[in-house]
Amino acid sequence: MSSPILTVAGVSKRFAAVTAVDDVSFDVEPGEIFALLGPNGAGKTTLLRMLIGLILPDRGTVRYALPGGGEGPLLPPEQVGYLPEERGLYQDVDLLRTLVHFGVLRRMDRSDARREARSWLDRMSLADRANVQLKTLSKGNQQKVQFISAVLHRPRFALLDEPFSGLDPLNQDFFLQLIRELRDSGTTVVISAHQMQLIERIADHITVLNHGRIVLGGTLDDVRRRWRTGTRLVLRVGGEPDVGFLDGDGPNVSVRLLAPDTIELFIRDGASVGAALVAAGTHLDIIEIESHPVTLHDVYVASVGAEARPAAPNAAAEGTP
Amino acid sequence: MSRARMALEVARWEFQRYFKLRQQIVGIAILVFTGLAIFGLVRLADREDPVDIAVIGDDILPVAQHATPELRFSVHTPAEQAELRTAVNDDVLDALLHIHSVDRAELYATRRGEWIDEVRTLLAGARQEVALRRADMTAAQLADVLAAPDLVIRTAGDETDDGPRTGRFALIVVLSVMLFTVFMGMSYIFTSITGEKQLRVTEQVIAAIPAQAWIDGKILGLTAVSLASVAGTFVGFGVLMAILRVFGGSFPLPTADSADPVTLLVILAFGALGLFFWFAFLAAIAAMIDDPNTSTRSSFLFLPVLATGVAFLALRDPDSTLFRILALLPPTTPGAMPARMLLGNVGVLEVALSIALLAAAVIGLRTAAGRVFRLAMLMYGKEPSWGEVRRWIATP
Repeated sequence: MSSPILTVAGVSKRFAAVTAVDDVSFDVEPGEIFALLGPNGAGKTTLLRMLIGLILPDRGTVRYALPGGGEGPLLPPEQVGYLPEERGLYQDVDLLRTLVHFGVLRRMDRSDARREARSWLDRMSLADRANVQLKTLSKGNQQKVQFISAVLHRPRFALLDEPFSGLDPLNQDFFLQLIRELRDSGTTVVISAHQMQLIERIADHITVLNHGRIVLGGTLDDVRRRWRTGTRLVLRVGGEPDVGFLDGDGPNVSVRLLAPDTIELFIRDGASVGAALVAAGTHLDIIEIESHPVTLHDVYVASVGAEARPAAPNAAAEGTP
Repeated sequence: MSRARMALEVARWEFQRYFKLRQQIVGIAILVFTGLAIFGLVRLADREDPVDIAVIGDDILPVAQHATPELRFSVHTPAEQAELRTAVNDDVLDALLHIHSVDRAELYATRRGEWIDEVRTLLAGARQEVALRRADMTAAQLADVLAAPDLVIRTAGDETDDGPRTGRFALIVVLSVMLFTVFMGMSYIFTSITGEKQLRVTEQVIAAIPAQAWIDGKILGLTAVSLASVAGTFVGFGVLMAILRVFGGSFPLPTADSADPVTLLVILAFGALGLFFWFAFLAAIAAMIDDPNTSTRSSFLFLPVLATGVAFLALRDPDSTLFRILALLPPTTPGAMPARMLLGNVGVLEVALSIALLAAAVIGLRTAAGRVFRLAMLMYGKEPSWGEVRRWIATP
């Protein structure tokens, strides 16, 4: 394995009474897509801002080491692309001028920046809007322009904070493709997001944050392997189900009420499925049992705890292949 | 890319974003049109109702020869008196001036007004002229007696004839230009920075270039925009005056007689440093403001106007102790020292010390503003406390 392009060691950041990031450590390998996941307020954006140097950690270190030279707490600006969570570009300026300006700020020649900007606008089906003001575009198209401004200069390292927010499903797919292409062209990508179903389609490595701490981490294969050995059962029940009947089984079995008549049983590897079913049969009026594979979404929800669980009554359907 | 080139790129961006040639041309056109309209109205008002006065006894006190645009005279005989009174009553004539003797005259008029004082002055002059003629003087002697004295005005400390008047005029022009430029720059900087904060552009920019390069570029670019706008306004005035001169208007123009080229250059240097000083201050304050509609810190934006405007006090006493101090204090130096140079007695060393202090203050304030700017621009939803600002300034 090559040496990491980014090493985060014991990083913490506190704002007044809130610990936004708490003793976080991880490595990012060159050329991978590294995903930071977590619910709102988990500390993802604070962490990214520390990675780009906008804020400094109270404790710990951030260290970059580009293959072929260059090492330090920050990368040269021309090597980094940054898509901030707080979207913002000059609304009263036309697209081409805006993109060229950001390209030049990222140390591109003006002519190169103009050529690249035109090429990207063409790619995003915005070539005919090159000379209109940004404010005339839809939110999704503005997001495309913001994305271009982050990667126009072909950075070797890209930090993308919530790149999918505000995009429709088609454009989400399009952005997935763009991010894959970035990775394939040699750019290391760190993405912060909370849409697990999108991240699992592109990420090589995930780290889940909750309350500023890492609660889960590893390559996608590692995480899948670790969690796939468990069993997930969805029970349709009659009456008013009591979900406290397995309290004594500790971490091996978890129960979750998905809907008034639907319960999820998650039985970890090594625990007895039969015993769990017997216990359930004793306390519940079971009408139907379905077995579902464990998805990364399940892993994410289980790892960040109750506050991140979707409240939608049809949440059970999300896990259906 | 050097920091200077980054600052220049930002300056170029800000200039192109805020300087709109078409708007400038429209502004100049509006200025010229408004000026012409006002001039036309004034001319029209001036032409309205010249006072028509019939004079009986012009041979006793000759006033009719001194007609003015406001006073129009016609000479008549005593036999026409009744007819003329009727004309006044019927509003055909404005007044009848009946001169009975050099010591007594009667004015019968439809209305009172300032023009009566003019008539009185004319009568007094005519009476004086008649009295001098009676003294049997030659025409040359008479012209000599009636000529106004050659009045040369000098004040202490100024050996140049008419210097103070020209100096005052030059000072008013210099300070007005400074105030105008500060006002323009203030609005541009405030709009630009608070707007960028609200548009959330800041992270994208600060991630790409150092905050100091950003604020330097902003100050340079927006100073250029302000100066270009001021220049545009002057062009407008120039065009207006040129047009009005064609129609017979006459206007005083500032001349450089009261200041040699070196003085003008030094004043320009004070002006430029003053703009950088105040624009750096304004940039830091604007960066702290979260919501321009509600922030109490917006009131700080008027400090530059006050500090520059205080220089108008030099019109009273430019060499007072207070003014000597103001000329050395960097916030008031840009207005006060040029005022002292134009109106007072100021030594070379005092000017050198003043400009050195101002330059040092500009460098210090630029650095401090850069540090405040860097952190304040990323602060959304609240404004930094003064304690935080002090800490930021103290931390490299």
